Amino acid sequence: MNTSQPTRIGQALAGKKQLLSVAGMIAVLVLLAIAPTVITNQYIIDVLLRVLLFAILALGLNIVVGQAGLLDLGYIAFWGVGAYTTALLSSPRLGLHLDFFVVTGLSALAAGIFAIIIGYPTLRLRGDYLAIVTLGFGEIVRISLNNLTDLTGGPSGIQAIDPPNIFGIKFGYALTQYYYLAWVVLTIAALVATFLFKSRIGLSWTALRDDELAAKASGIKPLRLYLMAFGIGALFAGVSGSIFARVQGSVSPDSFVVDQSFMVLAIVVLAGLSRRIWPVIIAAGVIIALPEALREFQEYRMLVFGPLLVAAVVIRENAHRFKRRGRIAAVPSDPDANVAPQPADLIKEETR
Amino acid sequence: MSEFLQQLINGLTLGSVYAIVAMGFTLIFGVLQLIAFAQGGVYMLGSYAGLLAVASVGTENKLLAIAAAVLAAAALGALVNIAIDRVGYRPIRGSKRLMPLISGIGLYILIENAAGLVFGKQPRAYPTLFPEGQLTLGPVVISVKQIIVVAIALACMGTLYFFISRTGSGLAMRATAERPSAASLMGVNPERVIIITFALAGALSGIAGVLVGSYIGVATPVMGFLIGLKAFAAAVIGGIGNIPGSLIGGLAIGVIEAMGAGYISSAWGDALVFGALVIVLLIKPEGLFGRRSVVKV
Repeated sequence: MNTSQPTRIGQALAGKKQLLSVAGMIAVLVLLAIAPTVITNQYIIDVLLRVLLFAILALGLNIVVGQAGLLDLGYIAFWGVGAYTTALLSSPRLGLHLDFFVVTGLSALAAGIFAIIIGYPTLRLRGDYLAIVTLGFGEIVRISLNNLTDLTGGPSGIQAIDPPNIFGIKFGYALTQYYYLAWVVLTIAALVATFLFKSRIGLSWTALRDDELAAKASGIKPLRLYLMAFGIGALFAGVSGSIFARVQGSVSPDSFVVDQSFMVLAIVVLAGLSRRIWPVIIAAGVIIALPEALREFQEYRMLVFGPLLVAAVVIRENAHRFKRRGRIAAVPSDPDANVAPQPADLIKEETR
Repeated sequence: MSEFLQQLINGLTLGSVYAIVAMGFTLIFGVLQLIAFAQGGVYMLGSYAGLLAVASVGTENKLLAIAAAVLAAAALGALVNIAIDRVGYRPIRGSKRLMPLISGIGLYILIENAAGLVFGKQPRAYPTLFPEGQLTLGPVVISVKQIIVVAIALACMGTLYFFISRTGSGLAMRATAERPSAASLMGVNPERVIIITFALAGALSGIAGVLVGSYIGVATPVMGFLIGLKAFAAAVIGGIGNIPGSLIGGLAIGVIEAMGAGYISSAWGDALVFGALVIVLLIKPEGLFGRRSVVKV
C-alpha cells in the first residue's frame, strides 16, 4: 500500500475529527447549561437532571467498557455505594453532618475502594470474568442494602439527607440549583475523561483493548491499568451517586437494581464505545428521556434494550463490510475506528 | 449434626442442577472461549416449556408427564440456543472478547423481558411432577423429589459423557476445543461443531429449568438470572473448560448456598456463593481442576 499520502490525509482528518469532537462536547454542555433558562416546565428539568446524572455514570462506564474493553455489569452498585455513603455521612441516621466536599470525596473514594477489592482477584486471570463477578457484586450490594437494616435502613432506606451547603450557598427545594450542581459535576467529569483519554494511561488502555499481548510486550502492565480503569470508572459512579442522593433527599435499594446497570451499558454502547464525550451525553438523553416521552410503552422499555445491544454490536463489528474500498476513511487513522479482525488476530486466536 | 446433614442433602440436590447448567457454560467456553450469558434465559424458557408440555399431556401418568416435560425443555433449549448463536454470536465470530459479552447480555435481556410479556411477570405454579413421598435415613429426611432430581441430573451427565467420549461428533468437539485450526484441517466443520455445542448446552440448561421448576414449584421470568451466575461460578470454581470440574464446582456451589441459607439466612446464601467465587479466583485463579493456559503468539 502507498502509505505516505493516505497517512498524511489521515492525520489531517484525525486532527479535524478531534477538533469536532471537542466542539461537539462544548456545544452539548452549553446547550444543557442554558436549558433551564428556556424551559420552565419543572417536569422536563427533572428529566434533564436525571439525564445529567446518568451521563456522568455513562462517562465512567465508558472508560471501563469503551477504553479498557472490560465489561462491568454491576456498575450501578458503585452508584449505590456512593449514594449510601453520602446518605450515611450527612443525615440524622448516624448523626453525622459533614461538609459537602468531604462527603462527596468520601463517597467517590468508597466506590473506588470497592472497585479495587472486587477487581483485584477478578482481573488477574481473564478480563471477561469481570462481567460475571460484577453482576454477582451488584447482587451482593443489593442484598446487603436490603438486609443490613441497622446500617442501611433495609428496604425503606435512609431519609432526610441534608441539602448541600456549598461555599455558604444553602440549597433549598429549587430544582435548578441541583441541576446546575449536576451540570458542573458533568463538566468536570467530561474534562477529566477527555484529559485521561489523551494521557499515557488512556493510550495504554486503548493498546490493551486492541491487543493485550502486544501491549504487554511494550511494557504495559495489564493488571495495574485494568484496575485503574475499573477504579476510575467507579469514582465517577460514586460522585454521581452522591449527587443523586442529594437530589432525592433519600435513598432506597430500589434505585440500584441490575436493570439500571443494563441501562447505563445501553447508553455507552449506543454512544459507540468511542473516546468522544458528546455522543455519550446525547445517548444518555435518548435512553433516559425517550421512555418518558413514550410513557405507555413502559412495559417494552427493557425489552428494547436487548435487541439494541445485539444490533449495535453486530452492526459495529460488520461495519467494515459496508465501507467502500479505496475511500480515505478506510485508512485506520482514527484511533476509535473499529479495527476489523486482522488475519493475524485469527491466527493468534487459534494457536493458543 | 442432623441439621448439617440435611442441608448437605439439600445442597447436593441443587448442586447437581447447577452442575448441568455449568457443563453448558464449560462446553461453549471450551469450543469458543466465550462466556454464554444467555444460558440463564434458556434455562428459564426450558422451565416454561416443561410447564406447558405437562399442561397438554396432563399429570395422570407421572412418567409420561416427566418425559414430556424433559423432552420439551431439552428440544426448546437446544433450538433457542442455536438461534442465540445464529443471531448474536455468529455474525461477530472472531471479534474482540468484549463484543460477544455485550451481545450475550443483550440476548439475555431480550429473552427475560419477552418471557415476562408472554407468560406474565407473576410466578406460575408448577404442576406436581414428582411423587411427594420421603425417605427417613437416620437423622436426615430425603424426599423422593430430591432423588428424582439428582437421578435425572446424573442421567444427563452420563449421556453427555457418552456423547463426548464415544461419538464422532464428540470427538470433533474435543478436537475443536483442543486446536480449532488443526481440527479444521482434519475435515472437522467448525460451524457444525459450534451448532452441536450450543444445542447440547441449551438442552442441558432447559432440562435444568424443568428440574428446578418442579423442585421449587414455581416458574418466573427472572428465575434464570441468579442460576446463570451461580452456574458460571460453578464452572469457574471447577476450572472452566473441564467437564468433571463443573460437577464438583456445581455441587460445591449448591452446598455453600444451602449452608449459608440454613445457618445464616436465605438472602445471604446467594452472597456467600459469590464470596466463594472471589476467594477461589484469589487463591487459584484457574479453578480447582483447570489448567493454567499459556498464550502463544
